[in-house]
Amino acid sequence: MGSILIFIAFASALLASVSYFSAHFGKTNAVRFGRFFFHVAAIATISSAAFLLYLIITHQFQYTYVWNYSSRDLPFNLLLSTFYAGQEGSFHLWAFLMALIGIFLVTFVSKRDGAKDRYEPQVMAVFTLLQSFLLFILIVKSPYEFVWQSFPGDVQVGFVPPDGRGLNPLLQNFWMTIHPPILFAGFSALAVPFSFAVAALMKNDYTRWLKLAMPWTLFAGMVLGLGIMLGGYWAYGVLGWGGYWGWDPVENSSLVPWIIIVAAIHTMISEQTTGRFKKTNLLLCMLAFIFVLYSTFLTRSGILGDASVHSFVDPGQEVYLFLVVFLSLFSIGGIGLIIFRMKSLAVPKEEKSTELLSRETALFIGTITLCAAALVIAVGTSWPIISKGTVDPSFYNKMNLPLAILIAAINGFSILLKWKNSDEKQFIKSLYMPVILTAAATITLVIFGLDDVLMGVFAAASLFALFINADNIFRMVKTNSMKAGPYVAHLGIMVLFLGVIGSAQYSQEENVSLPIGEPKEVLGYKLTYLKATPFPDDPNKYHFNVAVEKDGKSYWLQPVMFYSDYNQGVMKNPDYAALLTKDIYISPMGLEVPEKYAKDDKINIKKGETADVKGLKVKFIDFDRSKFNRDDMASGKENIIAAELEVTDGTMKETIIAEQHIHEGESEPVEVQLSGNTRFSFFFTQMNLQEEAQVEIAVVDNLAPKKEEPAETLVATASIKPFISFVWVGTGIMVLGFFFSIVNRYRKLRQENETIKHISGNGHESKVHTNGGNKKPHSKHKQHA
Amino acid sequence: MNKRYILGGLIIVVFLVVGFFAFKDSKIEYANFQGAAQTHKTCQVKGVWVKDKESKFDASTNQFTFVMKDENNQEMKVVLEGAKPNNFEMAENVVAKGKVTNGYFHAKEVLTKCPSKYEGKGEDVQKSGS
Repeated sequence: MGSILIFIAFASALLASVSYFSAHFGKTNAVRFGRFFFHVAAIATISSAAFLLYLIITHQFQYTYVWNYSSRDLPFNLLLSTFYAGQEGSFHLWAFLMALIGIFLVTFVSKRDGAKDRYEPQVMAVFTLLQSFLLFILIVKSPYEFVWQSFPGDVQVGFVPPDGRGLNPLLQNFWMTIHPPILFAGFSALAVPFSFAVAALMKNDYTRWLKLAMPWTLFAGMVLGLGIMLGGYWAYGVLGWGGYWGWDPVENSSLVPWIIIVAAIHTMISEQTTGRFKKTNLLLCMLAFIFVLYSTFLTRSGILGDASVHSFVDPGQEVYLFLVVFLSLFSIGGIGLIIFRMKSLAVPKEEKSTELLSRETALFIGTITLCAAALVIAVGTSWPIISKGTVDPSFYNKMNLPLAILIAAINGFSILLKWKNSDEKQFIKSLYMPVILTAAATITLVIFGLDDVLMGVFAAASLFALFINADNIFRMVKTNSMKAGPYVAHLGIMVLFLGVIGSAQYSQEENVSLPIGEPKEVLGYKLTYLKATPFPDDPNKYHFNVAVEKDGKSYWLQPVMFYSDYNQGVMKNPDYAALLTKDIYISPMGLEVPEKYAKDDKINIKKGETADVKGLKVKFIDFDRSKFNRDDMASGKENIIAAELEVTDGTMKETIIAEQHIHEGESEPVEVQLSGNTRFSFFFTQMNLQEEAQVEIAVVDNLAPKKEEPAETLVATASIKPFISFVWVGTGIMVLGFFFSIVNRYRKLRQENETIKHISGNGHESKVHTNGGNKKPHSKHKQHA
Repeated sequence: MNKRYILGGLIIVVFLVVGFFAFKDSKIEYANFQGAAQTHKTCQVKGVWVKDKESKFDASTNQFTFVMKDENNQEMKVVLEGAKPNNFEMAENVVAKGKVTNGYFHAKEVLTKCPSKYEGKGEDVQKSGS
């Protein structure tokens, strides 16, 4: 049933696109078909998503996708994450969000078609075409494949596995439940400005698309920005990177479209007031989505397999090829259209002169800087494709730091400048206050330890912009708070920048060994490892409780370590205490448990030789390989090797077999004793097969007085990260700013639209009627109310 | 020419020059152990973890030591600054970034590559749940 829904969705999306395209070429009636087919496609896509979710929740393991990423023991919220844990599902999530956004988009554009400048056919033609491409991927790589289709020969038809393989524990947390949907919502939203840009080129009309696309572009910027930073938070709080950003290809490739769309927002505003940047805006709106496609290609095609921590599986030749076609078709098509329309896009000569000291010049330079940052990241990330090799993450830091300084400074200046041209004296006068405040704040920071020149400049630039934005917000709140959106967003960015400076440059880190119950002085804090406690709901997972004390205040940190069957290894999750000015962060490395034997209990014996130990004669006869399997060994499964020992105690002679369990390169000796004598314990601790066969045996005299044993010790990396909370707070403020701007832009658009409707409603009633079909008067009615 | 184009162009030129030099420094080439031993630059070596040779984490130095075999089947001891990476056991390939010093590979970072990380095989279907 799922596959049928997907196929219906794909076919209708394609039909919708065809109908809308024919509407563009003159068949106005086709709009109705387009709208109908789009809704069929959307409903089919949403139903298919609901169906897949139903399969996951009801544990239908005969579907390969469900079997691969789910299991019976997962709680509901994690079953939700299962939906997009794999490639098929995440494409489906994307298609689902496209359908959802499309429903709002079609209502939005169909309501806003004033008499002659209708945008619906063109915008929806492009949007539904994008949709059908995505849905086609789901046909090729279907989440509805049965296990016997995926593994013909291995599995008989109709077999239902009793349980699934489970979800990767790294993905089993709240942040991973919400991060992908938000990121993909951002990707989907970027399809809207792309569609508008192409639509404008198709219509060869560049007046209204900006206004219509604006709220969508802001929405895309907000959602994508939030999605990216949520990923950062996941890396910090769960993965234990110790930071929020690692310049990993997956992160980079979603950052690039974000930077481009942010640049586009600025030039779009500029065009609305000055009429410039026509080509730039079309190009940037297209590039942002093209980079989304490119990013999908980079991370999904397996092409960066060696360079990324989380590059996805190689999806197979067809998908790879299809992604290439998808990407190149839309980039060549989009850029081609701009070139095709070059003549009508040319700006009349007399409009060209601009004063250097004007807001649009500042925005122009800002845009160039943003694009430069995007270029740096894009080239760095793509480097493994261009040449054999990767780029060190320090490259991005080095390159982006000066650009970030420039961006912060330009933001401050541009707000003080006016459109067209500014009065020089007035401008300089307006600089006084912010500069004085910045100088004071920067000097304070220097006193508190800001000692790097570039970082100091960066801090100063950020503070400068921060004060100017704050001043504007303060003034706006008194009059009209909705207009403050841009300033709030910029304030957020500057707070984020300050957080980056603090946490990137001034983090302190130390490796510590914490014996149980013994306080240790680390980075000015007293750390005490108290005990390990199992999770209330999962006895196999442990919290490693660490008390952190300073100046009478204490915090309780609980990093986590557990053995995961899914990953066949130890998973480690950090924990941190968020203080106002810094985070105390503990990332666990391992736990050392006391060994059963001391160092000087160990002795090396060559094959056939006898050694005197503690009054005993121990002879190493040979290895016992009866329980050993070389194939298992190579694959890392548990294996047993043993040493055959002949022990002579006075007159008693006995042969014992000392076993060693080997698992994943780590060996665990098993204690053996003589049959009639429990005084001595023997451990086969090491073997040496090279050159001469030789074993290391530990012989422990249980009656001998015990030496002081090392206690259970938690090994961890502790760090202090100043102002890292600014990064999260800054992101929050920025998102809020975006939100205000969207509301403000949308309101303006509605007011304008209503006045248009009033005019056209009075004069051209019949014309509107035929254009819009029979639904038209209805929606118009709503507008008036 | 318009003043702002000159200003924009200037930024681009400065940026390209700085970028070129920064880029030359941060490029990391792929290599095998033999190549890594000859150069003194940081490079990255792809290979597999030799599971039957000893691997251990030393808490006092915070180093994880293991033996890795590169694509030419040459084995070398790898000392990683840090703990054993997540997913290390199930990795089909590992990529170590660092340089060769004193006869062993001193890695700043080890990436784990898991082509089958998220995907099961046919034989596992039968076993699941048992």
